[in-house]
Amino acid sequence: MRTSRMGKWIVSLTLLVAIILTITPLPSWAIGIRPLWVLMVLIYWALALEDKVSIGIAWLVGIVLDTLQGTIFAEHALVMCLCIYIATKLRRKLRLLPQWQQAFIVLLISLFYQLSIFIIQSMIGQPIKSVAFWLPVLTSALLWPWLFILLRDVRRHFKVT
Amino acid sequence: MRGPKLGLRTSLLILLSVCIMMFDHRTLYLVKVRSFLSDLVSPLQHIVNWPVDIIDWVDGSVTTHQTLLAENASLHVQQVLLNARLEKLMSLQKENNQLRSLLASSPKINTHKIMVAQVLAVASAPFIKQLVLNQGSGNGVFVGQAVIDATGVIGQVVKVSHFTSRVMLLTDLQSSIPIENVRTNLRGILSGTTSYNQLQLLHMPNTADIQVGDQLVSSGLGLRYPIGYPVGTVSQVVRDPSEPFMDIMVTPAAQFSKTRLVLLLWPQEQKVIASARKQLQAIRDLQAKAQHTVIGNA
Repeated sequence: MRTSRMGKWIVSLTLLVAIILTITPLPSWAIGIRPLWVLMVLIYWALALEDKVSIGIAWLVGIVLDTLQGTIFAEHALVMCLCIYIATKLRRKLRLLPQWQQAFIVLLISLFYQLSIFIIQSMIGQPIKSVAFWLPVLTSALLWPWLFILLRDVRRHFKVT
Repeated sequence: MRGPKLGLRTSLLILLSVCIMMFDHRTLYLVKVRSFLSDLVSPLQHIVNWPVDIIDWVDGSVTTHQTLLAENASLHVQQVLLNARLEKLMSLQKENNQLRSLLASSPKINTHKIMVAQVLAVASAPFIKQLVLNQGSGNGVFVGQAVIDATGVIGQVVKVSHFTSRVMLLTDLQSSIPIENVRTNLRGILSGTTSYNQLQLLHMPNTADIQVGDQLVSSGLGLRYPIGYPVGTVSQVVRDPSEPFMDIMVTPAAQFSKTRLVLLLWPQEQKVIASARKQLQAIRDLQAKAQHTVIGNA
């Protein structure tokens, strides 16, 4: 069964909002605590719709992030792709877990995400030295339960399956 | 059924990503693709900017008559002061040129074209210190161009697309600028750090004359940044006899996080370099012609 036309629009819209939240200007003290919006939204759709929101979409969104943030091409795309693959693989177990345990898994996935970016940046000779770089891992996990409920309501309201 | 398919797709995409990354890192072929994609996503950056624009607009339209009058008065005073300073500057410039002509040296190079650009976005990740401006190659912006604001040097353009351009700030880890100490004329290289508002003066020997509060201006060496623009003030000097160099921290003059309007500079050296290239080409042409005739005669 394919996702309906409406469903595709809803998924794209949530991703667009996530991208906009990622590049919204913030005061410098708040940049460090910005959660990994795009990753979280993609994980949610991977859990809810299995691989209807495919790895390919994750890759494309990653390319958009690379363009917007001026990082080397395919850096975010590669990492996003890997994370969504992991999320899809863990899907069955994750859906049965209580919220706080889900949040813990999200913490691990975002840690993996940041770690991969850290490694790639080091490999291309532009190492990340700021400690603030690791904070989004925590904020993403803390926000996960709320984002999960919000997106679940959106999904149920528009009957995206 | 779906498992292996998913795995296969993922590994293919990862392979593709690694190839693209190597390609982007080692070669310059993807510059055009990036500039095209940047233009595609630039509407997003405009959308993100709306709230700020709206706040500015509301702020502008609800100010009272009284505040406007007060502001007007203070701007008048400021203008008179600036005019007086400008007069002084002009006479100094004249005198300077005269002295230089006496010394038979070339006059100081001034930048001749300036464009105002608006800051569309600041880098959203904490490890990238960049700004996105609303002017691109369509308006003649080029990679390597110097960017300043009202208080000092901001950085240089590192990527351009047709409608936008990306500026690396002085505080970026990869940024360096040749500077000169106003008090002692001592030259040095100022580099970015991991901190938001700190620069680092590199490789200054322990014996160098430098103090907290020294003003640093761009020296213009390297032909990238213009001469004599304020760059920063020395905020901390640590001399450790066991280390070969001093640990010097500098507070930048430009206000990276507050600036909304910046200036793009077109240096005159570009003109000089272009004319030099033209002359060189003309000489080469002549040589080629001469060679040709020699061969023809033989």
